[in-house]
Amino acid sequence: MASADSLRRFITHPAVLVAIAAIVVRLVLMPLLTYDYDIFHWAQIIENFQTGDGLYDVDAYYYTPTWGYILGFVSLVMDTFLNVGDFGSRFVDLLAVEDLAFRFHTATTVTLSFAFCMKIPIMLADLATGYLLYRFVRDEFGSQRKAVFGLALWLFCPTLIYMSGVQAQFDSFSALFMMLTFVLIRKDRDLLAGMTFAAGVMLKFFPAFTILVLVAYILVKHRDDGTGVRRVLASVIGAALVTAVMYIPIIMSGDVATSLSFVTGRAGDMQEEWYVALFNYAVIAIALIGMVVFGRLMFKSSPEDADRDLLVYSFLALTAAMFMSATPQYMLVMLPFLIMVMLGYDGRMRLPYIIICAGSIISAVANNNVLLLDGASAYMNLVSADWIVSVADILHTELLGGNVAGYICNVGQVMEYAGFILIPLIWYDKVVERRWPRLAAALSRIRRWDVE
Amino acid sequence: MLSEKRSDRAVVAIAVAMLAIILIGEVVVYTSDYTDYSASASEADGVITYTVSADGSKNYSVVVSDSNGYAKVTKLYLYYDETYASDVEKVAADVGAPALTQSYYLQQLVQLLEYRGVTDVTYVNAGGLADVLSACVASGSSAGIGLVCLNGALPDTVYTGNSGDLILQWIESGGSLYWAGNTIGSEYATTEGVVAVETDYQSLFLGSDCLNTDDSLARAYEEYSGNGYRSALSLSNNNVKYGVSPSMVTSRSCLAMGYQNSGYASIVAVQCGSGAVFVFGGDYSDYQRYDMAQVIAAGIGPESELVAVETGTVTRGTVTDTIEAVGNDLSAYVYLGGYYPVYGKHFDL
Repeated sequence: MASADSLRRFITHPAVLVAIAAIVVRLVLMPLLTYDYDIFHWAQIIENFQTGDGLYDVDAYYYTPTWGYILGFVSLVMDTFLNVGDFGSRFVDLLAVEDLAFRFHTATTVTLSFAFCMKIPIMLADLATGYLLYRFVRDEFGSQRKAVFGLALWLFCPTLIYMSGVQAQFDSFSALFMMLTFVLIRKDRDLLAGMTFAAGVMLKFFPAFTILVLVAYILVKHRDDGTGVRRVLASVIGAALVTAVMYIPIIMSGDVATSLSFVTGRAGDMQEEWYVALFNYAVIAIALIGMVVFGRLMFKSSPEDADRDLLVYSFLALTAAMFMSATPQYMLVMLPFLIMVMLGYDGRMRLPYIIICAGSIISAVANNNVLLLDGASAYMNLVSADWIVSVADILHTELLGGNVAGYICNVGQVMEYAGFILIPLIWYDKVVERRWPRLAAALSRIRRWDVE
Repeated sequence: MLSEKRSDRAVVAIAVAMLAIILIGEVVVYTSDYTDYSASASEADGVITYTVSADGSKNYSVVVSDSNGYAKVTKLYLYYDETYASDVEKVAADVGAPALTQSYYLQQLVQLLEYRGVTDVTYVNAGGLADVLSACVASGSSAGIGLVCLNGALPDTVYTGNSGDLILQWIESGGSLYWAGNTIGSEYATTEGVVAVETDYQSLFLGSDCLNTDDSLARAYEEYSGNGYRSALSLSNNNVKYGVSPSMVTSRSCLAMGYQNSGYASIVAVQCGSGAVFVFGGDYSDYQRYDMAQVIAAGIGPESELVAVETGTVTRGTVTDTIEAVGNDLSAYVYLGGYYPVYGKHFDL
């Protein structure tokens, strides 16, 4: 009886209800909408290592190894417990989608069962990150309501739902590793924090921009007990250990340069028109300056303020890194920090939260639009392939040098950048008030999300 | 305090679980290979018995063809010579992907062929190619020997646009030329550059004018309907640039596969003497490379006929079944994974 009561209490707990609702939303979306291109590559990557070609011998995988290894684990689960023999097929009726102005589409559409296999692990990462966020907000800010609200803000961010339920992009794992690092380092689990940090950096490199903040935090927090350097060393050993374990096979096969192509490939953008190159250099400079400045500010903090400042400066360093690209999924690594700062310190952060979430989902959906129905057309006959192709063709038809889908995507990206710019302006409103009083007055009118 | 400890444990558990997932996944990535799969096929009294095995779950296809005398390639040469000019279009690569150069294309092709059972593969440069082809021609038969040329122009050591050129002698003596990346025969390469061929190069290789020389006619949006090889072999490349129109091939046997646009097909095999010329449409692409590996491994020739196709799924075990088939020169190509192939093997029956 007691266990039935505790089960009932667990299931009716607001946080659990939020999590269940988030799962249901994703499970409903998973078969209906799929972004064909990324998940097609996940299937190719699995194919490649199942043939013995590892991650980099044959085209398909363009990241540092963490996601490839997670796919290795997923394929093990599929092979051991499931019956997903068919990854996908090439549909003649959809061939025209490969010729759109936005060329990242394919008529080789994965099966619904394969799509589930890729999306469910990402959904689990959403939930694990949500759990960490919930516990942190509840324990740190002493409010169950805030914690549940924070969990809802995370799990129901439309871009997060889209990335796990539709696109199968793995930035949820980036967010999870960043959150793990943040929580572990606060709990003085330095070795483990170093390990999760390295794993996160080798997923997508954005967490790397918090390295100075993290190191400074350890040194500041343990300034009095004199264990700072030893603890930093423990973190470095943890990071080095994970990096070595993950990279030994890559070093042995001579694929180190290829494995870094996520970074070096984007450096190719520098060969674009001068103004594009200038913009790219400028946003990289913002990210690097953010890394150094907030690392320095963290170092100047006191042991008493260290915990608070770790959250704030990690958040601001990640925000600076976000300027490098308004690709919709990248901001997910920063989003838990935005939510925590909003709930803990400044309710005005609701505005950048709304703008960034809205901008990123607009940007994500605009380029892919009706093409998200490729799988539903191919495997469920919910819509005709002809309709998808004809509507997509209209949305991608050239108009004033661009196309409608591209313009909408650009609007979303501009909104994202506006959100990124708002964050430091809101946080440093006193500085803004001294220099730009009218702007400060406008910022002061932003409504707060004061949950209590 | 108790709650805090529990929270600590949960965080550590999540972190350890994630690191364990990565480590286990890494082991899977570097210990898996095509030997996790196997297949066999044999024929007796018009019944083909096949067996397919997999450690995990994979769909499989058994493609039974009558090759009508075409000898499957068992020895493959890849032409590559950095000192010679080439003429191929640069193609866009995915963000972060290495450029799809000739050497990278060939390197990947070798990998794709390996798990399809084609392992006797040798690189040759311009001089080496002439030596190999001369030796084959001198031996009287080049049957079962293939040459992949992705250079856009054959080297002047074997081709200068004349009917007596070594490459043509070699094909006519039974060799199989696999070509992609440019209009076949329209140029030859020297160490100084490429030279346009003024003679009727199309007739030299294909017997008639049948090539797509309109660069704007590239993408195909329908299946080539003459046979079932597109779906049987999971062919993917739907580009017909530089491709052959099978209906314009006169007085020679030919087999078209894949996709078509305005009569041009994405893959066409044309008989040339005792040998064959295979033209794969389009500029370099991953799909084209996949198709090339599949066609070479399947042992398809210009007179091949699709006799039967059997598909199914094998899950953590072995499937044995039979197919009734009649033909003069039967072979079976068994592959696992469909459009994401992980294993292939050819059987002469």
